[in-house]
Order: sequence, then structure tokens, then C-alpha cells
Amino acid sequence: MAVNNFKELEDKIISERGSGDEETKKKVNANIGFFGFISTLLELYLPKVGEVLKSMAGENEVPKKNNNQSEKE
Amino acid sequence: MIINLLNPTIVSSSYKTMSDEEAVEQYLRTQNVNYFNLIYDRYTNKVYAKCISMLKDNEAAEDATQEIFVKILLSLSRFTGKSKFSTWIYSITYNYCIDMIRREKKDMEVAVNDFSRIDTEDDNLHDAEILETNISRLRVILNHMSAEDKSILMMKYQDDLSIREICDMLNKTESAIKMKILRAKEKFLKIYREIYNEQVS
Repeated sequence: MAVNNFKELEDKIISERGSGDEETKKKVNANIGFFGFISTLLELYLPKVGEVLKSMAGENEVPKKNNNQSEKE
Repeated sequence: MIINLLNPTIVSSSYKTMSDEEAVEQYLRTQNVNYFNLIYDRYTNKVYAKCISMLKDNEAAEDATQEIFVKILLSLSRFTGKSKFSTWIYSITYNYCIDMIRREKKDMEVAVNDFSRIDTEDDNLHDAEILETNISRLRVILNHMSAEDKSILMMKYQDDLSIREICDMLNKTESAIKMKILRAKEKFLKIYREIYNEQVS
């Protein structure tokens, strides 16, 4: 088999890595947790933000009674 | 803790043998972190080895490995399966490292234009000499090379990527890639001669 010291060098670097692997994995998992948390927050509250903006724009000024009446019509 | 609560351990013991593509699909479908960890475990050392070869610093390489995996995580849905998953990961890794070097202006080398015109069609020219370079010398020479030259040699010799795959990765034509590889090889041999004052055996 032909010699490939590029691959040998890669193996050597990996063997010298030590415990960095697990520490980096923990940090990556913390990032995954953070992104998951943010996406859950967005999923839960983004629709409500829309409603709040609508109400701030004055949509709730329309009296409920009128709404019911128009629905009946 | 929260992660583990949200992502119960995968029950099936066969998940460790699933292909990269299946793991990606399952992660995107279930958001179960164990599938992503499977990919992490498979590639973390390879990504780290590339980072340290490119960045020449252990701490920077660990930080880069972390950021590259976050980048992979955020881009997973954009993996189309057009290339091998490993090629896609290596592409993100090389691009990240080259960008980082450029940003920090660590790489002061400019493109070398003093090489003779390329008048050979032999893609394997100098391969044996380069591949048989003693490991410690190989490390020294790679540390003296520009990020672009070093990465293209690593793609060819370490990752066994074909010319076509490198073309796709770097978005260049086949002749441009062949030219880049040949120039990188010549640069490698030139540095070898300068440092060790001898021809590559």
C-alpha cells in the first residue's frame, strides 16, 4: 500500500487532541439547547406578538357588539 | 439537563450504524440531539485536525471546531445530498478556516506567480515525493504554506477528494483546480528545499 503521510499526520494530530473533544461537545450541546429554547419561545410567543401589535394598532377598538351583529347578518 | 429531558435517549440500539444522511434526516424530523451527536462523534476529530492544521493553534482549533458544528447544525436543512455528507462538512470547515485567517490577517502570503508555466497534464506529478515526506517535516512545511495552498493539498491527499468534488466545493472549473493543485505542489516542494536545503527524497 502506498505511503500517505498526510493521513498519518491527521491521525497523529487526532491522537494529540486530549480531552478537547468532550469539552467542545458540551459547548455544542449547550448551543443546541439554547437554539431549542429560543425556537420554543418564538413558537409560543410570536403569534401573540402579532395579536399585541394588532391590538396596539387599534383593532380592538371595534365594539364586540357590532362584531356579533355583523356575524349574524 | 434540559437537553436530555427534551431529547430522550434513542431507544433503538441500531441508530449508531445509520448513515450520515439518515442521521441528518432523523435529526431534522425529531430534533433529537442524539442524532446530531452521532454526526459530531463521527466528524469531530477530522474537523479538529483540519482546523489545527489551518490555524496552527490548539485553542483556536477547538473554538473553530465548536463554531463549525454550530454552523453545520444551523445549515443542516440546506444539505441537499448533492455531494457526500463528509465533503459538505469539510467544505464548511475549510471555508470557515480560510475566512478566519483572512479576517485576522494572519495569512500574509500572497499568491505566488513565479512558477513556471504549467505544461503537464499529469495530475499525479510529485505525488509520491509529497506523500512520503516525513511527518514532522510535513507539519512544518504545511505551517509555512498559505491557507489556500494548504487546504487544496489536504483536500486531495487527506480527504481523497476527486478533482470534480474539489471543483464543486470551491465553485471553480476543472482546469482552474488542476492549476491550483499543481501550484500548491510546487510551492510545497519549494518550501521543502528552502527549509531543509535538499531535494525531497
